[in-house]
Amino acid sequence: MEELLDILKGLKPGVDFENEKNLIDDRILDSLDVMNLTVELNDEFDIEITPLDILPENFQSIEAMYALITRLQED
Amino acid sequence: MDKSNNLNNRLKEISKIVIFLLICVVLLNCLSPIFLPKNNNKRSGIKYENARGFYGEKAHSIEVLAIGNSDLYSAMNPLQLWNNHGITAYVSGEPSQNIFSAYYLLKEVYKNQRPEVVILEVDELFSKGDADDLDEVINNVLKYNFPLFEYHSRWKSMSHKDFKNLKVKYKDRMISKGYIYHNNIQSHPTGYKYMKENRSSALSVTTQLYLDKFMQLASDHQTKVLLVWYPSATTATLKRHQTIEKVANRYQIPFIDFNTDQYNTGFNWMTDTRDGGNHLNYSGATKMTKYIGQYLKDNYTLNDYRHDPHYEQWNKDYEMFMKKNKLAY
Amino acid sequence: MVYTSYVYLVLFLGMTFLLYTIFPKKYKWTVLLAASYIYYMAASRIWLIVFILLTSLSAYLGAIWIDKINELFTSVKKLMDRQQKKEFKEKILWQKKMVIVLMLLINVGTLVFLKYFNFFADVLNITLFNQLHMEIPMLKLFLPLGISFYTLQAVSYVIDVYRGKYKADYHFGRVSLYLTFFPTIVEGPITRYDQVAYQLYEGHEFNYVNLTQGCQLILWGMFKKIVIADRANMLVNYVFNDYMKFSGLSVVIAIIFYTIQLYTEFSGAMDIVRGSAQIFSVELPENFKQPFFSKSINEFWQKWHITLGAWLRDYVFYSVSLSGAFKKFNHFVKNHCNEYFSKLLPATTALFFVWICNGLWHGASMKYVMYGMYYYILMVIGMFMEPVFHKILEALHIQKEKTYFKFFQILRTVFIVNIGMLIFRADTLSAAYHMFISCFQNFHLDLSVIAHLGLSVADVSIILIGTLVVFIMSLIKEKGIHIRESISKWNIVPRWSFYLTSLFVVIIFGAYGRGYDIVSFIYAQF
Repeated sequence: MEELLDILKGLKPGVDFENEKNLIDDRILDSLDVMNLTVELNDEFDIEITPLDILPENFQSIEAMYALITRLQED
Repeated sequence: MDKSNNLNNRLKEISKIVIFLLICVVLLNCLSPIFLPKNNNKRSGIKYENARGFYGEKAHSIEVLAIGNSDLYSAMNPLQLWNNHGITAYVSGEPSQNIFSAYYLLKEVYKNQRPEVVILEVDELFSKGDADDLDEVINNVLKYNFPLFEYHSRWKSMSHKDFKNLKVKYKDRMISKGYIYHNNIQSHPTGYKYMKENRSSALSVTTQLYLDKFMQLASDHQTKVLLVWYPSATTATLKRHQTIEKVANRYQIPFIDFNTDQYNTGFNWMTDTRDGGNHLNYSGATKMTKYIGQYLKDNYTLNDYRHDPHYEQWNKDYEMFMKKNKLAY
Repeated sequence: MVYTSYVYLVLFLGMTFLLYTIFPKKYKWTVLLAASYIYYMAASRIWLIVFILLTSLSAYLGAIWIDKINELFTSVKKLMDRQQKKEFKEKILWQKKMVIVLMLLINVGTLVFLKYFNFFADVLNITLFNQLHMEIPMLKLFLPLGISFYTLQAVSYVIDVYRGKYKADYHFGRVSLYLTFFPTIVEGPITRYDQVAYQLYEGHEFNYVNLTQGCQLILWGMFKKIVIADRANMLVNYVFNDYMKFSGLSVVIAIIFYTIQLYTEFSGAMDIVRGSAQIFSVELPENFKQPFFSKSINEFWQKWHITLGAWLRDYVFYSVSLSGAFKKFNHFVKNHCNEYFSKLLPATTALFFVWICNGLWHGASMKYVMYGMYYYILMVIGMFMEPVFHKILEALHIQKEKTYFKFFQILRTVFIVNIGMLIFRADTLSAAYHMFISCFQNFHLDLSVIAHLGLSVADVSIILIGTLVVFIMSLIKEKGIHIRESISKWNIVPRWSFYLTSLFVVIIFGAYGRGYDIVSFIYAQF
């Protein structure tokens, strides 16, 4: 979780990632951010996020992203 | 219980749709007279006034009526027929006319004329296909029943008079009787080579249907139909000639095709076309009309009205036409 | 058989609806499929149907093939240990990839050949073969109707099966109907299999609300297309076809009118298309969401031609940015460049492919490539300069949340989009350049020039009033109000008066019939 937060903060400084629950719907993260983030996460956590996983609900909040990462790691 | 309720609902919905459509029809009927041009000229909103001058002629005075597209009004000069034979003819030609609008135009003609002979210029029978033809059918049916569809753009030029006085008075005469005069020359040097070209030569089903309606309408009014194809280097082919030949046989009517036979008219593609083969000029029209006049005289019982005082106006129109175009007479 | 013609609206749609209604539920889909093929043959050359059949068949079989490979894997998976599984998985993946490549070769290959052969041959002739004294001959090629749209749909279907989003469909009729459904075949929206295929296949009973709301949507589309767009077309053609003659405000007006034309015409077409589908209780995706209220070009492209943007995102952008090669490239950048660059470079590289595809998709010419590049470059500049903009705003004490700043952002986007439209419409790139420069020559703020641009004052007034109506409707929609639904709650007298007035406004003020040309849909040529 800490690691994820660091990545997010590096990507978009100044966003309150701990409390934002609608990152996609509120247009805080656009498709480019999500893509950058995906590449970074794949690298950092040694997982493989596929286009199928790139859904709004998987990136709305830090918790959702964390859940995605743990799910893929278990695969 | 539920089922009958459902059925009730369905009936209610369908009747709502029907009532809505009926209101539309009523409104179309109410609005159309307002938009209808009040006279048969361009100023009043008629797009092709040349084709609609027959309204202004005396009732039942036209004996030969020709109907067709731009090829026709470039190739047939009624006043020449008048001067040579005393035949009263009118040319109802419109640019890119099709058989569907021709049919409804003929219906209009019968409102105040009873021609002996109707000449149908067959160039307009070759269409793009049934999908486009069906579109044109609906278009023409709507325009004929609700003139609003034809004249809707008149909102730009309408005045309060259009709302107050809904009576139409179609009184304007066309001096040229529908012929459109051009005397420039732009040759078509390759002559009759176009007859060998490969163009689709079948008539669409929709066209055949309306051709049949057209024939029926004419025979209902005891009018004889004559098929003519004036020289047209951009559309005519040998195969198409054969198609029309078959049509003529089916209805047992004559067919004159100036593309396959020159009938000793002396027609010349070098001097007789104004736009490189698409339309004829005055010289071409004179040659065509000379032949057609003799043909009409020989094959139909048409009167010579030249010395009839009731037709004095035709002599005046002839003079005016020749003067206006600076032609010797 | 264009969507605004009588034969489509009255005869074709009417007959199809009647047949659809009386057919038994189980076979209703056959009416839609038959109608789609009849539409295709009537609107195009009959023999071109071969291409759409080829695409349907290859997508259908390709998806099933991939499915079979997947099934094989799951059935033997349990019998293997971890190492074996991994090896086998890789083999399977390679097989699946081969199927995809084959499928893309057939479909995208056909599209590329028919649409772009002459363009690429021309480019090669100029750049390379000129020196070698060789020449690739130009071919006279037919473009099957809707090929740019149904090819994308076929590709999305097979790739989704490949990615495991859903399983292959063993029902050829359903796949075929999804690819050929007549309202969407000419100019989209580019639908997805999981969005519409089952909606199309299952039979819907007669639904009064959908029928009437569908008709209303068609009427609204007709208003935009024949009252506004076809009228604006005359002015636009008048200036663009003879652009050397005009300068200053005349050119500016022509550009703005073209933007109005393209928007009202394309979004109007989409309304007719979506209305046609709604009559059969089929909901198609939106292609436009009030794009001219966007505050950035990025946002604009999420609201303009949405289904194309989404397609490019899902099947170009993600495919590129999540590919193995790209991963390596990303690593390389990260190790060799500073943080600022390494953060932006991968995204901008992937975006490059998106915008090249976007440009080329619209047409095989340098002009459309530049059209794509224009937006690409602006977006890249926006991304790289973001910190700088941020500082400027801070220095000027401008708060991003203030209304005036948002207003400025919207105006800026509209301005940028209009320049894009200029590139899009101008005959050539140099014509676009010439027109852009001439905007600033002889510029007088004298609105009377509008009377000399091929349209009467009455016509211009109709366009402006019509545009105002579209603007107001967009404002209401932007507020989240479903217009047709709110009207349906009115009393019958005002409600029907409203419908009848709208209908007669279209009949009377439509730019159709004698004196107006029939304007075919711009997007139908892509």
